[in-house]
Amino acid sequence: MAKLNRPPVIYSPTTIQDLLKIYHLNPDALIYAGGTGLLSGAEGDILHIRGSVINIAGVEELKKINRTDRYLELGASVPVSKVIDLGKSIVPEALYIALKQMGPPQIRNMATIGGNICRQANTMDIFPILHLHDCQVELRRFREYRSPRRFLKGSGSKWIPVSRLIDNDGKIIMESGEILTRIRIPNENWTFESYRKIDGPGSPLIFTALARLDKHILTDIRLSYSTVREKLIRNRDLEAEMIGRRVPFSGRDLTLLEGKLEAYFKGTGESSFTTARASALTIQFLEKISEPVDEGRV
Amino acid sequence: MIETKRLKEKLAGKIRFPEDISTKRTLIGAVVRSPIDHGEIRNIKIPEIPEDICLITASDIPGANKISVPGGSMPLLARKEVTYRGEAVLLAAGPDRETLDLFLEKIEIDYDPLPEWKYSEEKEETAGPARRIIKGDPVEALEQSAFKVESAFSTPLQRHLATPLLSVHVKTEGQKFTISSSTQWPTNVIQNCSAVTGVSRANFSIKLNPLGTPLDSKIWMPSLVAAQAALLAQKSRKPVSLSYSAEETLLCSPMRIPVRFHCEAGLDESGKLQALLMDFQIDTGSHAMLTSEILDRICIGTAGVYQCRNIKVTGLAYRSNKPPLGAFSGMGLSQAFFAVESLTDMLIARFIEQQKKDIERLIAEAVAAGDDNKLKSARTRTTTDPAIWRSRNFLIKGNTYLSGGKLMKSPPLDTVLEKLVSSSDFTRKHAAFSNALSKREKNGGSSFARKGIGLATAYMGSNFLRRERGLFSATVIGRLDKEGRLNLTTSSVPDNYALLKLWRQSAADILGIEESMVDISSDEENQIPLAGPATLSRNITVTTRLVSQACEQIKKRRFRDPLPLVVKKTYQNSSSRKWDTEKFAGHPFQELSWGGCVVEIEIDEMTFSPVVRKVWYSIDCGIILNRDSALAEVESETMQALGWCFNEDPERIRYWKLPGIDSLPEIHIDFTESSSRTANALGGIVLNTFPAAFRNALSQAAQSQFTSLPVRPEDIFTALEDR
Amino acid sequence: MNIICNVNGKEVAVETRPDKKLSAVLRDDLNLKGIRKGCGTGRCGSCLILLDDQLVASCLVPAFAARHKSIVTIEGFSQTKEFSDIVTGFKEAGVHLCSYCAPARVLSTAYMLRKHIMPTEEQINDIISSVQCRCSSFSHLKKGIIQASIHFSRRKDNG
Ligand SMILES: Cc1cc2nc3c(=O)[nH]c(=O)nc-3n(C[C@H](O)[C@H](O)[C@H](O)COP(=O)(O)OP(=O)(O)OC[C@H]3O[C@@H](n4cnc5c(N)ncnc54)[C@H](O)[C@@H]3O)c2cc1C
Repeated sequence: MAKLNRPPVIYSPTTIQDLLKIYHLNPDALIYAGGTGLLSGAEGDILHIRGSVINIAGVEELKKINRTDRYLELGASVPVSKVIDLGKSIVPEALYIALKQMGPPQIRNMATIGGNICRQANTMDIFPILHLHDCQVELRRFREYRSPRRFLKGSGSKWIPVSRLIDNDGKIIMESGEILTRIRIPNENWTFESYRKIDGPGSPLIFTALARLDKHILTDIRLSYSTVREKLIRNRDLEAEMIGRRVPFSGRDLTLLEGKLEAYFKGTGESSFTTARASALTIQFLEKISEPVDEGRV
Repeated sequence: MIETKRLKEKLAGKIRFPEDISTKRTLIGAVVRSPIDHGEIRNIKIPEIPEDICLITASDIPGANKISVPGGSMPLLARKEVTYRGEAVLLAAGPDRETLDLFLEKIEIDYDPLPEWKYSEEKEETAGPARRIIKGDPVEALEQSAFKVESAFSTPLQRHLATPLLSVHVKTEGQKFTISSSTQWPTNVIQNCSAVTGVSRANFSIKLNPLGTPLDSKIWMPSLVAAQAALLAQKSRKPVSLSYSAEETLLCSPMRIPVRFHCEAGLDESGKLQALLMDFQIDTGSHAMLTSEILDRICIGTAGVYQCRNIKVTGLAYRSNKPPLGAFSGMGLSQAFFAVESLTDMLIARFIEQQKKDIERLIAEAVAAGDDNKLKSARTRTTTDPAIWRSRNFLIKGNTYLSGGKLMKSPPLDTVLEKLVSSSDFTRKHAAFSNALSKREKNGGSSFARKGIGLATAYMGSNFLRRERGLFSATVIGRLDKEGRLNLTTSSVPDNYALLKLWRQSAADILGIEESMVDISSDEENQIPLAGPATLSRNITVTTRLVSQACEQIKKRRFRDPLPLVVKKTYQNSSSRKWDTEKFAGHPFQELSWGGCVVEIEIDEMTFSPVVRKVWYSIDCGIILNRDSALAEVESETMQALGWCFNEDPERIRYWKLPGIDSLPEIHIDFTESSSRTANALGGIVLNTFPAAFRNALSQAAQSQFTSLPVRPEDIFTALEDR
Repeated sequence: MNIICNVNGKEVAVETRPDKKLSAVLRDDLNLKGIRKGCGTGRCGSCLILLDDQLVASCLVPAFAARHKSIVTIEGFSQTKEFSDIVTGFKEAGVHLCSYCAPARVLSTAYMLRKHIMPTEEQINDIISSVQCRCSSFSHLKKGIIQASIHFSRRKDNG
């Protein structure tokens, strides 16, 4: 039987300043973005939300999309479908593919980019992509400055690499009263991007890969894997070993790499099934970048 | 035109379900459920009951505390023992949800948990119905067989979707009750409401709401929900709306019954089936509802579609702490055919293996002897394949069912198979895939994709085996009034405009009137005393026939007798095809349809998932009443089957996904309309053939025999690793 | 909490708990029963509505999030010419839907066709995934959506 609580108190700020202040005063309040990640219960007619809620949907600043020649900047409350609508030419390919696969259309219309990043989920769909792209996120919170002469109020803002948002256990770490406000995705030219999410029956696995080639030399490569056990598996040694090599990889090289990857994966405690899937996806990617390069893409 | 109007109403969301009905006086009902799988109710502490709340415990029930179907029953409210999580313990109703929940929160129920029921032969409490049928001397025949196969198989439970939710609205006026329900079985709803309230049947009438796509989720559960609401309405003397949440609907809905098989079979030297020994156990959940029917259907189905003189089938149902299981379209035959058609394929594989060895031996001998003629003849010898083997062993006229009844004509299996093999190019592909895979394994390379092709043949029997009126019979009442309007009253009205149109057309044709002069309605006045549920293609097969019979009779009498003219036609046990449930003897099914399926699969070697590329069906289900609906039905049943075989996770109650459009294979369907002048069951043919064909194809692709559904990517990975 | 919003073209004010599901507000307080009670997790699609022209699952939307928004349900949409286009398209393709999921199918189709009047196969497949039901045949549905898109664009061309 559904337990009835007192209805939550709803705050609906329209500016970031108000939002930060309200959150500062109610650090236990729930930040409500698209509301699709809250799993507030299927039973009954009331959503199980306790205490107070800060609905950030009315803060226009959080819904802005900004493009410069150095980066694409997304406000935290930009809905997933809006990012997709920007199109393949603007959104990095892997991110574009990931967002298109996220839930049914009604969920993508509601879900926000910020909500996706801040949700404590098992496997994370877009986090690894932002991580490989070296994205920065802006965190803000209310701050009071006391100076001898005047009493200053302002908001503390900091930009950090997205990788610093999670701790070693893969948990999102934000300070009390802190809000994710913007995400900056650098405009970088990757020759190849790949994103594969296997989430049918069986343990899910997300594979993300970026590679850059210059005249058949692999100048950069980044690979990440997310499983139920580990939010982000990345082996920089293996990446470093590949950088500087000539493509196509020889059959022997591929076999060697496969062996190293499998050994590394097994070492992380993943099952041989997940290891096999991860290794097959990686080899497929390495084979793809070994194919003759379409000059137009470089 | 009527259809366009109805279609518009449907698409505009104007069709109403029981949970949509509400009046100012209507009380909201709720059920307090067991939070544990198994236990004893130690104590129920009820606070003072406010005036606007109505509460019912098991001891408050004026009539019988049970919901019955022919052959089974379950409690309406648990009295002492709770036997599954979600079992109803208390009923309550109040003016609104909030008031009701506030009261219910104060009720305290203490349970003493009991150990979960685990089936064992000694434990009587877990025993359900059982069967043992022996034909010939299967043990001896198996002993004598040249080729033997032994294997276990298992099939999982399959969940219904939560939607449409289980809900009911009951209105009272004095002693009279009007029930609005989405049920497949109106007469069962009334029977049970009358039994629990102790009020005579004549005081109940029913308004039928559409069903959605129930797939048997709404056979007996609506009777339970209606009886619960009727009790609340009786006590409170107010209308009651009782609507289960998605969670409750999922928790309490019946599911496709899980089965574990142990099978043995043997062939003689020439490949003829000699012996078949099928032993199975089904999990019936906490109470056996239609379990004996399902058990008997599985018994018959496991004997397959092949000639065999020596068969032993033993089956038993055991109870577990799940809700009563069983109702999911097909009622047992899909599980049975999965086992027997998988076993058949394993047998054939053994036989082919031997044939290949024989050929190699003959070649070697000829080479050694330097005999060119012998060598030539050895080289031209061919092996059999799953299609050829089947065609040599199919049942024919004069063979008997497991239950003894004789087949009065040869089933159209040859035609079905011929069409199937030629459209799918089965024989060539089967050999080609085998060759490619063995080359691949020899070379250790992976240049050939792991492909497989599988075949299965089966039948579907419409209607129930048990011939009790309350299960088997159906009635149509035709009334022609003075203005020449025809009203047809049936025991259920399908949520299928194609079928309604067909009935209307057929009536209009027979009577030579406009279609718009024909109305079809459900039996709201309770004129039909007993009829079975709308399931097992009974609407298509039985009601369609009754509609034309009723109209024919009206046609004969219309200029002789005064109007209005009323004709009642009831479907009953036929004299030529009798069935004896007690003795498990006679003709099991009134009508059969026959079909075969070929599945072509490729294993995605990155994800270890089976990708079903193409599916072919060849089906003989008599006359196809509406081709478009038939094609749609085959496709949606294919997706159900795919879900059962691969995508759906029976362990997850909530967040599983149905197979989506991205897993829709290319489907080719060939309908043969030759064997019967009537419309027979189409529903069920896919579920009886696809799963085994899927398994057979996958087993070829992985070169490893899979024996349980669902096949998980992990299973495929392990199978490939083991090679 | 007093929720003021525009429902099917009319301004309405509803007094309700802020955490009540919008689907329940629309069904119970505004008697819009074309929104079905579904799985409650946003997956099955039974409760789809258009919220500020976006297709959303109303079971995941709390009443407070609907303040000052415009809502279109099947009851409102069925008054439009686009609705007739979809009915015609579905009828021509022989789409058979159950009464439970049918309104959600129509609304999601409309949403997609408003966005992409000549949809690609990918866009059609995507919108089909917005509703989960065991009733329909995907290929008939696909055909129905294509037929509907033809009627949509024909009407747009004719002004
Ligand atoms: C049917 C269905 C399918 C789904 N499929 C997928 C899928 O395929 N892949 C996937 O990744 N997810 C999926 N989800 C989960 C969810 O929709 C997404 O993760 C979504 O992006 C969450 O965004 P939201 O705006 O709805 O977040 P909300 O639900 O509003 O919030 C999620 C969490 O993040 C916090 N939060 C939100 N915004 C901020 C901010 N700016 N600063 C600080 N904290 C914040 C909230 O307080 C909350 O704890 C699915 C959900 C459903 C219901």
